[in-house]
Amino acid sequence: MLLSDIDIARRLVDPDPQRRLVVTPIISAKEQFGPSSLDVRLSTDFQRLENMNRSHIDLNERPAAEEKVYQEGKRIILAANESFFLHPDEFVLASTLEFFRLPDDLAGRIEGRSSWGRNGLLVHATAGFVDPGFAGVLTFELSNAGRLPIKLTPGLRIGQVCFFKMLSRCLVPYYAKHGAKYFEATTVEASKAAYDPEVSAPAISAPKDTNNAP
Amino acid sequence: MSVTPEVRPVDPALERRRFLYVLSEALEKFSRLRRILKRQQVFIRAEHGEEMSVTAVDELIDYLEEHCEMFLGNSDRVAHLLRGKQLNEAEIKAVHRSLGILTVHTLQVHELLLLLPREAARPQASFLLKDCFGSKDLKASIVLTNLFSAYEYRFEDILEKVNVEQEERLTLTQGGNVLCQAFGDKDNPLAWAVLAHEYGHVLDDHDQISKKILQPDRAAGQTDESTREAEPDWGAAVVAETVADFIAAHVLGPASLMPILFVEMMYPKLRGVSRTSAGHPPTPVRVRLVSGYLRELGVSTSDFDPVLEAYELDYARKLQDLGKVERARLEGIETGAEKLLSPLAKAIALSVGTLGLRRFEDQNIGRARALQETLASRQPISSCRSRGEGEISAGLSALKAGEATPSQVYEVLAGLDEVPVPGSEILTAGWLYRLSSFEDVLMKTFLGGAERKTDLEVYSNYAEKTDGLLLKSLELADVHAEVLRRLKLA
Repeated sequence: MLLSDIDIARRLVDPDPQRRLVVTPIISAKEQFGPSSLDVRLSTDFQRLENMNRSHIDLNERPAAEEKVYQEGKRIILAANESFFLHPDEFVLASTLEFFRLPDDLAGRIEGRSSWGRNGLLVHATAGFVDPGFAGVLTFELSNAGRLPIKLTPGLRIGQVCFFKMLSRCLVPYYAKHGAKYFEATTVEASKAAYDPEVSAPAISAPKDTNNAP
Repeated sequence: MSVTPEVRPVDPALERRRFLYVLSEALEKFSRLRRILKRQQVFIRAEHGEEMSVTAVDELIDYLEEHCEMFLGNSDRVAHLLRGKQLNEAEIKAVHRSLGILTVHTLQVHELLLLLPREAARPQASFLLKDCFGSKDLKASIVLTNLFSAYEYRFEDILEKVNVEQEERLTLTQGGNVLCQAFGDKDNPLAWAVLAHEYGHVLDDHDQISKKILQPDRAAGQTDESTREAEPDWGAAVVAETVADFIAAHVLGPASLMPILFVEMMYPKLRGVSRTSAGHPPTPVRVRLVSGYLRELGVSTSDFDPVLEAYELDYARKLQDLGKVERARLEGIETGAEKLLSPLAKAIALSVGTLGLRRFEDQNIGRARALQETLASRQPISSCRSRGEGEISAGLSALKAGEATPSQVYEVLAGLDEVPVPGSEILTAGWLYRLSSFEDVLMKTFLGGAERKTDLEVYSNYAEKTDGLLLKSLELADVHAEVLRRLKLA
């Protein structure tokens, strides 16, 4: 069941902590509320994945996610009045200005806004789903599918989030989920796929090349 | 201090509180330093691979952890102390000694952080200064230093003191002011009140406040003979420090004192005569003057009184530990500083009041208490609603789909709009949260008992999470204000 504007508003002031939805800060409800969604703004930090010295992504090569950020990513933090230029075909991570806390019976989905989409801005590549019980900022997987660079400034409304009431409360919300990696994030966080057990486990050795056998 | 160390009665609750403050500060400094070093280790390895030697950073981490292990040898005793169980005198001494070892070595390792690559001050520190001093923006850069105390300088002043043999002296006119912040405080907004103090020096230099206030002959007449001989500018320096203290208190309230007091308590010994005779009034004098100034502004310090009391005890105990000669000297300086500064406090307050800075008021503390609760629920605290939730709910209930006009709906929804809070409230709320929560986290860190291992990561994670929320709050408040400015222009 998709929440309407009034449903979202009611959840934002619900006195019951089990049902309350947190989205903060709401700077201008008049601008941000849509009929069934809430516009979200761009924050100040960006992470660009470098490709100069990398032939491909192999999580097994360097399993430490933090190390990968240093090696492959460049972190950029803007002041509120500075801009970031997203060039055609470029891919960067960014985050919402808003901090979210979803109750156990609501899920969310982040989408782009039509006005920005028409200029070629995509706000997520594949992962737009927000689990019940999630808390933190949402990640934008920004890319420019257009042919001209797009100027981005912190505070711009580039996305929208809609919320779904689930048929029943989930058994294990995100905050209690085994292996939850992005809970209560307050900044952009790079991929932590390297922490997935199937990635971090040692790879099965490839069969020996008999041609090279002594 | 009003009560001399010899006659001070033992108050077990106060002694325990003092110990907890010292323990929490030591663990925070240790955790943050280790976090910085680990980040360096990762960075060097990621940039250069395994072939690049990271011996220096590895060595510092090993050294730090080795001394932490020594401290952890007393974990059970710490756990007992936390839970109010009786320890004998020798055990108490062992705990304090091992905590002192951890502290001293943490501070020493920090001093070795000379040239760390890829570390710069957080932009949020500039956001905070912009928020506090926006009306008097004198352009100051923030750089990190290996010393564990903040300071400030101007390029031009340094050049004047440099003894250059070349005929051509560098002419720098745009360098401006530089505020130096300890590496270890980089991620910790609660410690950034010291930057407000340093910025106070910048304003003082610019507006010549202390120079106008201080009559040189008057200062000379009120300092003791030995101090005057050692440092003829001592009077001017302590007045300048007091001006900077008042400016920091003016914009940040009582939280401006907290980082100074916690660091002072963490040092196992008084930092002695050298520091005070070099131009800082003894800290108890600073505390008394700032408290008096805040009272004059109508700002209550009651939320922070437990820290002020513990600091008073801490100072008295450490004064007692000094040798007779040094103690007498320090007491002499304290009396001299008091004699010089007390009559000038009013003039300093008046001058600071005319700078046009946004004043911290008692209502800021009231709002910070509410923000503290939000922070305790692990949310950023950059803004608050101006309308009550009951009123918003009632408005929402009255709206009927198909009946309410868009303007009626927007009027009700406007109740959800948030307004950014000043950085001073964010910092105050952060301190209130720390003071109300750290003991519980210490309990979870030091579980005690044979099978229950002490896990410093518990405290480290708590500090890191709180840092993250406060950094996010300062960032949000800055962007929020900018968006409102744009909306207003539109």
